[in-house]
Amino acid sequence: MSHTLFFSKILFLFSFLAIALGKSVLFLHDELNEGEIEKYASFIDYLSDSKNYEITLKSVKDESVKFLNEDLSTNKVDEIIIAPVGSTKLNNLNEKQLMQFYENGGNLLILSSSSQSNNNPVRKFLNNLGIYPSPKNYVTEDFEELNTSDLIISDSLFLNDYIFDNKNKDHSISLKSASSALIDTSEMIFPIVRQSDYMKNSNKENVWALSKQGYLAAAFQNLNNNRVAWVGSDFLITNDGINEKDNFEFIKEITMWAFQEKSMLHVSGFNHYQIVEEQNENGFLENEVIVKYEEEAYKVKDLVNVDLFIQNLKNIDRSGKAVYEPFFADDIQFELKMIDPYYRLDLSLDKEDSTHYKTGKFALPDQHGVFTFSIKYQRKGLSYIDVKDIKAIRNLAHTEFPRSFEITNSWVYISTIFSVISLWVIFVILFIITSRRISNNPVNSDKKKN
Amino acid sequence: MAVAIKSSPSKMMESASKAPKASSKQFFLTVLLFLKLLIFVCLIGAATTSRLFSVIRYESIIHEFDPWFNYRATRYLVANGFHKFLNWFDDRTWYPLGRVTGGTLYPGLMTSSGFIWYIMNYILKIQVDIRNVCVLFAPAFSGITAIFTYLFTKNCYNDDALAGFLSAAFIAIAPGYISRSVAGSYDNEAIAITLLMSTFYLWIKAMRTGSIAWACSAAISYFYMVSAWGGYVFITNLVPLHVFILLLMGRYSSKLYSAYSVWYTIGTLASMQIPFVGFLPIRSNDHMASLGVFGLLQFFMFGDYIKSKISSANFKIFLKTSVISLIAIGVFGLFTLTYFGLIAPWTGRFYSLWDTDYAKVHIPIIASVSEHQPTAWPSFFFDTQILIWLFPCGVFLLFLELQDEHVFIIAYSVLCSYFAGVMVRLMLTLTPIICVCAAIALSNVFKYNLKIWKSVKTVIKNKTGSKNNNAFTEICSLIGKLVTVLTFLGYLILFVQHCTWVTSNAYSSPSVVILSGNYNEDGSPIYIDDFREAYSWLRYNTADDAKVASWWDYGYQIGGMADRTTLVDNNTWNNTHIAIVGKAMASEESISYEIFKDHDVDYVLIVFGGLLGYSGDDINKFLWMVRISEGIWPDEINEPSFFTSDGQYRVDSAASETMKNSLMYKMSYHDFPGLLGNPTQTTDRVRGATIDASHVPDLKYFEEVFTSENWLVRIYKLKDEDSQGRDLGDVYNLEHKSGKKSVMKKPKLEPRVD
Repeated sequence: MSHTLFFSKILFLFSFLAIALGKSVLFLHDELNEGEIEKYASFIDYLSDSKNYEITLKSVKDESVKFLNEDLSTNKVDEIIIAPVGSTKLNNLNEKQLMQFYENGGNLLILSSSSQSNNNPVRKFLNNLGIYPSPKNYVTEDFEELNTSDLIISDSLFLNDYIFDNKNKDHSISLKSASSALIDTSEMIFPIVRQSDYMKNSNKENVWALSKQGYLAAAFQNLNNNRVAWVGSDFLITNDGINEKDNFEFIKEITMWAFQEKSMLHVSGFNHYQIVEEQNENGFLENEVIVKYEEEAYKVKDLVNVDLFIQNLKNIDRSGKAVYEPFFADDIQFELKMIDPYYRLDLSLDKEDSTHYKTGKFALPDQHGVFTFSIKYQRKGLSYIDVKDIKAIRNLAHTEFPRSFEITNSWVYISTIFSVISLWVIFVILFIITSRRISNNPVNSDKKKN
Repeated sequence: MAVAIKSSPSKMMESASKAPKASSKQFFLTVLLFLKLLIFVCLIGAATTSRLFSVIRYESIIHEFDPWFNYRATRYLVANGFHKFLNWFDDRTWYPLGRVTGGTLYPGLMTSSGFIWYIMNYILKIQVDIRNVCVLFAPAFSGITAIFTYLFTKNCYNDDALAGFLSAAFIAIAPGYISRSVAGSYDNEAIAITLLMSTFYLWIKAMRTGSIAWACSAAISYFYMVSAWGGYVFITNLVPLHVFILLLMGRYSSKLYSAYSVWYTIGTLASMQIPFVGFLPIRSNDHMASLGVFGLLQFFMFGDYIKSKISSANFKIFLKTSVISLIAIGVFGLFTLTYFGLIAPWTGRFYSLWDTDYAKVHIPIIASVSEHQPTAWPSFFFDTQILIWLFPCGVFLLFLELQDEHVFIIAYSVLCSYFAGVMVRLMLTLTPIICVCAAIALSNVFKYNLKIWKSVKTVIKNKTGSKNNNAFTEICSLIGKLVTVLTFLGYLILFVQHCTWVTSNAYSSPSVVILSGNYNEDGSPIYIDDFREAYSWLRYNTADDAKVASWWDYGYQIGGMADRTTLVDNNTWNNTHIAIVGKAMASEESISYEIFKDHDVDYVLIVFGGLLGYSGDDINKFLWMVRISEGIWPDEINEPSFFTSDGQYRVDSAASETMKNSLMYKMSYHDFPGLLGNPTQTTDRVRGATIDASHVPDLKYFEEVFTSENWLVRIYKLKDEDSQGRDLGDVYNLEHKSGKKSVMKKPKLEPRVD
């Protein structure tokens, strides 16, 4: 008993240590002996030293590979990096586990090579997401100048600036014995690097991907903003390759992106409120009062403003603290919908606060119902924003319409009514006055009594 | 007060002078009054207690469907006050449209019970739960109905108190009325019949006296009726019809003129104050008859005046020209106003009153309500027993005299007999007049035959006088009278027995709780309480803002008992919205899922009677869902495709593919085969069909979260969207795939546009 207690204390301390170390990352590889992982040494050193990750190296064939807890709904490690897998029969690893790990909130960085085996769980996992890496022995070659499998990637082949920033078109990387992937039309797949027009992925007989069809790196982000990054060549992380061209820069950015350390839009606030305009006697705007929905529910044609506060994650420093930068965009839209959208309004940046986007004052539609106030912003490479609030907009109460005498049009009718009434009264009075007096007949009164 | 004290001594002196003669008469009158009061107390007692069977058999619970809404609205009224109630926007029904409930209901019922509750709690200081007020509301008002029926009959039929009492006794226990007014049946009809009788009574009173005061009272009573029930249109048309017939019979009088004019103007103006009615009285065709008769009456008055001024020969010419021109103007005006849309065209419910097939073809939503079906004729006997054959006798007797007020009863009976034959629910409006006419017939029977004492006296006298011939006829007639009276007494006893039996067995079930017909070991009945079990599951296990989709029948109950947002409910104001739910139920799973997701639905509730043998379940209503949605999307939903090739509606192996793949079928029979012993087959006890496991496709987009004890209610949850954006059907297939694909094939992909 005391032993277990002691042990759990140790574990407890250890877990504290782990937090201090940063994220726990499982590095899966398919090498027989420890010596061969040496080729990734400088990348691993970078991860553990500069990034402060707690790295566990495991072979995919190792029986003790476990990244899911017993209940399957939580993960043992935060992230997984998978180096190319050449083996086929893996009893302790299947694509369902990987998918479960991913759905539980883990992120994956997957590297392939042309020698990757056909029938392995990593490939099936990627296929489920819509990424189809080329089969074994299919190599991507560049036919522009020389028939070579040493690829130089530069300029417009980098497709996503949020993942790897190449706005200035001054970066290039080099890849060797790379595999290419076909990807399906899912909007959740973000291509990172595509083949140039002169590249082809084939095994000399069959072609897998021709020129623009093929992608050398692609990413996937699911609705929970968990990320998978796939790169077609492990040359990037080998000791030889990591220092060539901008390879280090590239793999560094990819890793950061995959492990949710950049391009994460952080919504620090989404709210809406009513603006009540107070007018002075002359009908000029005097004062604006903000009224929250909780204080008074919206009714049709109320003036409303919607606010969104967002920041973009730039980096996570060594101490684990998030560094944010302002996010500038002019295509964020607010949508007010009841099954169909009633309004789509662009959000504009507040002049004083760089995190504050707002719609500005707008009038709710003249339609009562239960409306969804939502902002959906889904851009490739950025985490998704999908915030919504369902609120009822009520009809006007019978006391909230203008009174009849306030409507000038109705004066005609009101005066008609009153003139008819007064004429009737005058008529009755005149009728009574001018009628002849009839004396009471005693016989009649007797009849009435009976 | 001062006046009363002053005047009473003089009266006393007056009576004292006549004391010796008057005292015995006064005593007699007092006894008579006491007896009358006693009869009223008994009547009210009988009316109220016979309606309490449901509380004794079951419990103090709100019944059926509509009462649940009325109850919910009453609670809202009590909690928020009248002003908020009148402007109530309900965001928990008809999601996401919401319902302007305050402006689309008849507030009479809720305000009445809210008022009673207020008086009891704050003025009388009797702590009563609003639920109990609502449950016992209908029985309490049925007592008042009996009193008004007494007054109505007495006033209509020559001040015959016997007929009045008989009719009051009949209405107190007639099953046709009890069916809508047992304890817990907290519906508009509960109060409406009372107001119907009171309005008619006051109208007859106003028409006979020509008094403005009575006409005003009739108008106020009419206003109360308008605030309580949509069936007020019946009064709006019956009273003008009465006046019209009288005019045709040449019975115009200034009394009639003043009574109708006052009633119409005040009544119409008052009825327009109800938000739901609004400008209908001057715009809808249903109300045009009353306006027309009002105008006609003015012309009659004018004609009457002219008649007194000019010679009869000239008057004839005047009459001819004016009548022809009036008819021409009237018909032309009606057509043009309707053509330009100033008068609303007749509503669907109105058409279906004349052509019973109209609704089936054009408005399935009206036809789908069981209350709107034509009446099966045994139900006339079931609901009124002996009264139904006394009814024509009473009408015949009225024809013999044909006074002004008799015409009213005749018009009422003829109109309502027709309507009751067309729609089951209108049986309710026929019942009062059946009671009245039967009472008139019986009162005539008794009036003559109950004078036994007199004939006994003459028989005895004649014996002593020894006039044999006369004595024999007297004895014969005495026996005849006795036989008649005893026969009718026997009938009446049978009637009471029948009423009690029907009330306790047929009309006291809350339909929320069902008796299984079996008993526990200790003799207590076993209840089937699946509905409340399911609703309380929803209440305690789902998020407060969860949206529940179900067929509209259960909308009010979900709102009332589970307190969850519904898509459609029994206030079938939006046919398209109902069709959306119908389409989702009738479509393939993937389409249904999309429809439900668009409407933010979290749970789908269905009623399945296959295990229990409960025939009112969703599979039996399914064709209506298909028909209603086919009306909106004829390209996507097609009724014949749900039948077998030879046109049968089957659920077993012969069922059509469309049927088997519809969401309703899958949800109903999900996991049903294999339930009772046989691992692959179970028999559906409603439809007598054998359901095999291989007939029931798997559910891919929905998961079962709750099934009640007797499988009566099943609740499904929409699966969360796949976080990887894949189609849920594909995910299901992937997870349940047998055998591994190991061939590396190049995938066939659409070109990607970035």
